[in-house]
Formats: sequence, C-alpha cells, structure tokens
Amino acid sequence: MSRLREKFPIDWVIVIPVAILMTFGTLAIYSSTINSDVSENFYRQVIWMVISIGLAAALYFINLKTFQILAILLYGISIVLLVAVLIAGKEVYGSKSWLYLGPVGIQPSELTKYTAILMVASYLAVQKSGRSATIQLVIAMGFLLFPVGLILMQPDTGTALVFLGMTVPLLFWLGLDDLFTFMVIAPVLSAAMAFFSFYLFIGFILLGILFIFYRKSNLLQSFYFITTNLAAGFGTVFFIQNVLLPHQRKRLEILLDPFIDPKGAGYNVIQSEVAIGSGGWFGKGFMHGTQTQLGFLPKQWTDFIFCVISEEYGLIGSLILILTFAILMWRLLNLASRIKQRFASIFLIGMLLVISIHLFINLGMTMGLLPIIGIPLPFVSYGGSSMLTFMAFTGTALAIYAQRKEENL
Amino acid sequence: MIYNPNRFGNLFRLQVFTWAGLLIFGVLAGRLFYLQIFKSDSLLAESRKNAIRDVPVIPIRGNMFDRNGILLVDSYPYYSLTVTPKDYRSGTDSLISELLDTDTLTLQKKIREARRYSPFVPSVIFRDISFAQMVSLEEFGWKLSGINYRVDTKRNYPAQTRGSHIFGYLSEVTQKMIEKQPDEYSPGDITGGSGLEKFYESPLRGVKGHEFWLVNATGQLVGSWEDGGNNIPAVNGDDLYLTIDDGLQSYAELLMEGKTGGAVAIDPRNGEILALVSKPDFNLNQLSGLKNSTLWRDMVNDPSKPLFNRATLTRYPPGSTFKPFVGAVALQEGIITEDTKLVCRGVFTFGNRGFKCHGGVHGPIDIRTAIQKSCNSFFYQLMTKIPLDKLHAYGLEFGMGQGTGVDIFEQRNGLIPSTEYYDRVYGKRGWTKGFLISLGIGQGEVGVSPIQSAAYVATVANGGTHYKPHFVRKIFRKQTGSFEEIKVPSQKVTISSENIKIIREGMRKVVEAGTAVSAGLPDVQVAGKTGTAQNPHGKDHAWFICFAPFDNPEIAISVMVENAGFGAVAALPVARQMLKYHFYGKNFILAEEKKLGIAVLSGSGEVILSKTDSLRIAD
Repeated sequence: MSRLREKFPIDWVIVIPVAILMTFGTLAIYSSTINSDVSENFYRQVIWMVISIGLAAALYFINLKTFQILAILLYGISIVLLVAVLIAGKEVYGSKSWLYLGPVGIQPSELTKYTAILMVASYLAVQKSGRSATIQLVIAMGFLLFPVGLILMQPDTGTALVFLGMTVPLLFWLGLDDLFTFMVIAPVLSAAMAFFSFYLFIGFILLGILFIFYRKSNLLQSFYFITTNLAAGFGTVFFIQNVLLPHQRKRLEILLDPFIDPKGAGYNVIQSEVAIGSGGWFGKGFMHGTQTQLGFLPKQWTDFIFCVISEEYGLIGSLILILTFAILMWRLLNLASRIKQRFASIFLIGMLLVISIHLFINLGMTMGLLPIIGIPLPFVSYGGSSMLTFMAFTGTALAIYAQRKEENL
Repeated sequence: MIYNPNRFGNLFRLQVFTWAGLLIFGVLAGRLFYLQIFKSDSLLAESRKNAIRDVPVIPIRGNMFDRNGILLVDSYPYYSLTVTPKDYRSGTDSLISELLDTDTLTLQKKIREARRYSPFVPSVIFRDISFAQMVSLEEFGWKLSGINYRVDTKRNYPAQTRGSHIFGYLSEVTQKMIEKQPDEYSPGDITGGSGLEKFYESPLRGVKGHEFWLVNATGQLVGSWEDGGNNIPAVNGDDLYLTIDDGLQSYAELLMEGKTGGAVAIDPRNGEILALVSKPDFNLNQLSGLKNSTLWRDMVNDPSKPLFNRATLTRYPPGSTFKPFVGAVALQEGIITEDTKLVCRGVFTFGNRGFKCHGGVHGPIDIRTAIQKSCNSFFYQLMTKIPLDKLHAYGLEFGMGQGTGVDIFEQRNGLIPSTEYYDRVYGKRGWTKGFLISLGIGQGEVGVSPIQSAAYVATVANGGTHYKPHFVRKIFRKQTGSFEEIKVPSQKVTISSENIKIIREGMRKVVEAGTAVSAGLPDVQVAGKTGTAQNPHGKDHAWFICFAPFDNPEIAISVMVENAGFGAVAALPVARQMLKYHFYGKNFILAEEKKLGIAVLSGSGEVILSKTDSLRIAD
C-alpha cells in the first residue's frame, strides 16, 4: 500500500475540493432540473461526470513528456474543431458553438481552453535565451490568441473573454515587467470604474500615480499613465452613451439599476439576486428554493447554478463553495511556484487563471456585479464539454503533482 | 527590460497573485454577505412575492332558517374565473374572450380594474362560468398565464317561500365599498343588495380566509406553500334564524298573487314578523341571488315595480283602520269616556262644509258602536277636539309616522301630521282646523305602510306595548358555535290599558256583528277593522287589520290591496285565510280548498273568493 502511494502519489488538496465542487453541482443540478421538463439533464450530467472522471484518471498516468507531444496533436484537433463548428455547427441562442456527433453535442471552444494552455505550456517548457526568448513569448501568445479569433466568429464572447483575460496575468507570471503589466491593466480597470462611479475612477488614478512614484519612475511614465487612464475612463462613458445601441447600453445600465427594465434585460439580474439574497444565512433547504423550484430563472442549471446553491444552502453553503474554490486556487498557485519544471508551472498557472476568471465572471454576473456573460461555473454547472475540460485540467494537474520536481517539499 | 525570463514565477509574482486572489475572493464574499445578510429580508420578501400568491378563500355565506328550523336560504358552489394581473399576458386576450364568448374590450376593462385593485391578488373577472367553458380554458391552461379559478357560492332558496323582499338579492361589490372595506372586499365579491342580505351583510358574509399558494414563473398555481401551514381558514357566515313562518309566509304569498299591495303578520307578544308579503314580487331563484344584468334591467323597467317593497316603503292613507287609534287618543285625552254618546245625523257639518257618513244615520252611539259601524260622523267630531300634536305624539308611540326600525333597510317614515308639518306645507296661517277633520277617518294627509299598520294593530292587540317588528330571532355565530338572541326594544304606549281595552272591544264587535263578519272563525275570537284608502289616482285601496285570539292575541295582521275598490273585498279574505292557516294548519286549508273546488295552496291557481266574501262587507 505504501509502495503504491509512493509510486502513485495523489494530491488530495486538489482531489477533495474538486470532489466537493462536483457534489455541489450534482445536488444543484438535481434540484433545479428533476422537477422540470428537462429532468433527463441530471442523468446526462451524471454520465458526463463519469466520463470526465475517467478522462482525468487516464490523464493521471500520462508522462509529462508525452503531454508535451500530445499538446500539439490536441491543439491541432481543437483548431480543426473550431473551424468545423463555424461550418457545421448548430446555432444555439444566436451563436454557433455546438458541434453534434449524433446525439452528443460538444463545444470546441470549451475544449480549446485546455488544449491552448497545454500547447502554450509545452511550447514554453524549454526557455530560450536572449532575443529569441522574446520571439518565443510572442509565438506562445499567438498560440493562445489564435483561437480567440475563431471563437469570436461564432460568436462566443464569454469564452473569448476568458482567453483575453488570462493573457496579461500569464505574461506577468512568465516575467513581464510589473510596471508594464500595471500600465496595460490599469486602463481596463479605469474603464470599469468610470462606468460604476466617477469618484472611484478618480481615486484609482490618484492611487496609480502614487504607485508609479513609489516605483521611482519618471514623469513620462506618469504622463502616459494619466492620459491612457483618463482616455479609457471618459472614452468608455462616451462609448456607452453615444456609440452603443440602446439594447446594448441597457445590458450595462441594468448593472447600476436592474429595475430600469425588470421584465426585460434586468429580469435575470433581479431574479438571480432575489434567489441568492432570499437564501439568508442557512438557505431554504435542498429542493425548497422557491426561485429554483418554480423556475423564475431560466436554465438555472447552467450559468446561474450558483443561485441554486445560494438559495437552498444560504450564506454558509455559498461560503463553503467559494472557500473550496479558494483552497483549490491556493493549491494551484502554491504548486506552480514550487515546481521546478516550467511546463508544469505554466500549465498550473494557466489552469489557475482559467478557473479564476470563470469563477469571477460567473459569480460576478449572478451577484449583479458584472454584465450577464454566459460562462459556466467550473465543476458545478451543467454541461458536458465544460465538465470534460475542467476534469482534463484536473487530471493533468494530478499527473504534474505525481511527477513533480520541487526545490524542497 | 519589459520581459525578463529570470523573473519567471518569482516571489514577487507569487505575492501579486496571492493578493489579487484575496481581493477577488474578498469582493465575491463581500457581495455575497451584502446580498444574503443585509438585503436578505427585502429579497426574501421579493422571492415570496414571486412565488407565493395569497388566494382569498371565500367563506360560505350564512344560511337562513324559518322559525321552525326550515331551511329558507342556503348556498351552493360555482366556479369563477380569476386573474392575477402581475402574471397575466395581454397576448391571450382574444383567446380568453373567445373561449368565454365575450368581447375583448369587456375582458380588458375587467383586467384593468383588477390591476388597479392589486397586481398580485387574484380578482374575479367572470363568475359562474359553465363546466364546458372551464374545461376549454383548462385545455389552454399552459398558455393562460395568471388565469385561475376560485369557488364562489350562489344563493339557493329551497323552501316554498319566495321572500323576495325579505331575503333580498345579492350584488357585486362596488369600487366604493372596496375602498371603504379593503380587508373585507375585493373586486368580484358579492354582497347583500337589499333585504336581510344587506342588513345582516356582516354576519352573513363571514370572514375571508387566506390560502398561500406557490406559483411558478408563468403564474400557474403549482401547490400549497409550506403545506398550507400558514393558511388562515375562512370563517363561514353566521346563520340567521328568522321569525318568518315558512308555511304562513308562502301561503300569504299565494293569497296575494295577482294583487298589488302588502300583507304583514306580526306576533303581538314580541314583534316577530310571521309573514311579510309585497306584491308583485320577483323570483330570487331566477336571479340565483345575484343580479343578472338583462333580467335586472327588465325588473327595474317593469311598470308594476316588482322590486319595490310595498309592505314597508309605501304610504297609504289608513282609512277607517285609523279609527280605533283616533278613538283611543280621544279616550286618553278625556274628550270622551266609554259611555259618551255622540249623535250621527248622517252628515257632519264643520264650518260651511258637510262631511257625509255612510251607512245611513247611526243616531246617538258610543265609541264601541262607532268602531263597530265605522261611523264617520263620530270620528269627525272627535277630530275637532283632539289636539293635532297629541295625535302625532301617540302615532309615533304606535310606530306610525316614523320608520319601524325593522331589520331591513327598506322602510319609510309615513306620515302622522303635526302642527309643524302643516305650518311647513301651508304656511303658518295657511291652514285651518277644517283641514284636519278627515284625519279622524284616516284620510287626507296621513299615511302608513302595511308594516306600520301591522305594528299598530299588534300594539292594540297586546294591550298597549309596542315591539319593534323584526325578522331575526337569533343568529348562530360560527366563530363561537353558539346562538346570539336578538333582543328588540319594546315600549308601553301612554294610552292606558283600560282605554286600549275599550277600542279592542269595539274591534271585536266589528267581526262579531259589524263590517267584517266574514272574518270570523268558528272557534277563534277575531277582532278587526276594515278600511278604504281614498286614491285620487284610481280605484280606492282596501285595508284590513285584525288580531286573534281576542283574549290572548298571538297574531296581528294588516293587509293592504291597491286599487281593490270598495271596502275590504280583497284585503279581508287574505287576512282571514292567513288566520285559518295560523290556527288550523295547512291540512285544514287543503281540505277546505278541495271542498270548494279552488286551488290556492293545493296548486297554482287563481285566488277565488267564496261568494259570501263580497256580502256583508261594508266600510
């Protein structure tokens, strides 16, 4: 037994949180579908879970070197699928993201999240030096961003946003200068803050200037920071008010006050907040959430699954879910910083970023902090492709753990 | 250097990632805390508003029983269509109006009204929908968001009694009533519109209950909330136990059929109304206790005014039935004694006017004989001496000249004039004593309704105690499960019992050997008085008042038939038959009808009076 443990070490700090999240998902999908007209979705999800766990188990036994060869193959296949979906895909809710093989539908854009990160990690596994290091980095980013173009053609904004969102933090991890990173991210933050509150926006710019002087940088950099951030902030406000079409503007404005259109654009936000808030400390109990059981939120088992958990298990249940994610994230960061192999570290950081961005966008939108962007909650939401993707990540992470080389552990 | 591979995954990067992660988790947890703790109450209320509908439970309206416990009025269920405006989608207007066979404008108007009342509460928009309509609506149920049903009750009148003017009809509540009593009423509710239904609306209605139902996102009721743990059951309406005698009442209705007028029978011992008929009347069963618009319009426009309660709302001159009262006042005021004889010369002259007496010259007669013969001269002479305001004051004591206080709203003051009245109508010096002479024989500016007349004769019958006439003896309270006796006020009139006794004897002589011999019964002593009310618009109105048994009266009756012409041809037989029914029972009447070959009680037939009825009746 102990020999087996030595030969096949398992990182329980990854396995247990994932198992908890899948349990949450199973209960919430059961609760939200079993009494509806899509009660078969629960059983479909169970089948997908079994398949996904099988995939994770299989990946666990693959050698890290083999992963780096597999990466090219899998990346190639996913690019082919992304092209295929544009040609032969089925349009659902206005975007062509489903590819059907008989009765089984898959979303290539989901799978690409895994293959692209695997590809980037493999490509960057051996660090080049000098000028070619920069070229290597640019090519790696090309691997990451090339699918974005195809995904935007579906169009699947949510998934594209995940890819775009992880680029800068990944570059930072790889060695991008912190001030430069800050200069790139700051205008995005300024734009968001300007939308919510003018004072927040101004406050952020002042804090930014302080940070730049703290970093002993010159006036030119300060000037660059101020102009780009002011442009981003005012530009956003101008853009929203003058360029966006009324229905697009409404989707943003409901963030400030969903009651400007309670039956239309604001409906999902209101019902979602009502579901979460009405859960209170301990929730209404399994199968007792009125918002869930009576179908006030359309398709709650997919992107709005967090509402089911919040409504039925309350703050306690929701915090357990969030803390579980936090533990998993902490573990991935912890491993990424300690493991010496570059492939492993980059892959784990990529996985961390994908999951974090999903988590942030998904919870942000269900809690009314972000506009409605349809992306699933990892390990929890209903959906075969998503489950398969995140379990592939998990299996690979476990394989990395088993074959890790650390400085000291 | 913007990019330096040596910085890969260094401590600083680890720290930045850690802090960024903490910030993100902090924001998410904070927002969660804000929603689930700070806004929990309001969002929970919001989710209840979403999912829970407060569906009112309409209590079953109270029943009415006659004095012998016979069920007169009860209720049975029917279906009403309700709308919850919040859940309603206007796109289904045309489908619903097609299924209900109505026009969309009516439907939209009703939904607007319901929305104005409350968007969250189901309001009735169509009542008493047929089973076929319900089935077809059910078929499209999945499309008809916010449309549901509720069970309402409809009135049913299982006894023989029609009681149109007693029970009264029901009508839909008005916007005003809803605003005034928002807890009790919502649109589409029914309420008493007249008669006892209106007067006893509050106990009959009961207390609405509340059922909390779960509705899904499309507004369909899907189950009860928390297994009905928070439901408040309805308290059904209280039952009324009436003073009405179903047998006597229904027989009186048959006797009055085809006539226009009213008949009222009161128990003189307590003021309980045994029967009250107003003709023409209407069929409450046809209305099912609820106003139906076309039928209703026809009734309102009917020239015979079936909705008008002639037993309580009319003001006819009492004619000679007023004479015993005038006699009593004269005795009490010391104008005459029981032995005082006044001379009738066939005509009475006052000033330069002559007032004729009918029935020839009566000569010197006392009060008893004057009542027996209904001598006009005698009472003209009394009226010249009676102070007008005394007459008015005594009239009020007998329940004339003011509302009787009967427990239905339909009543009228009538008129027993006073000095103030004449001053008001003719001016202070515009009238003379000559105006008052005809009051002595109950003509001119004096008017009573049959119920006032019955209350008056009941007061005479019992020796001088006025009981408020009333319909309800006791109320069965559903909430406590016990009876509540109704106590009615009574008051002794200030005329002494000796004087009452004298006029009672006069009234007895009327039936023994006077103008109403045909009202006599073989073994029950009846006392009575006929009367004719002059009618400037047509044939005179006929009155008959009576009570029996003479020594210990248990029934007092007043019958008034409009345009019946001479004397009491029409009124007296009605009263006599009622007395027979009261004392001898239903079988006696049936046997009598068989012997005479007539069918009143035994079947629907014309009231055929025996030949003797028209004889020996004089006013």
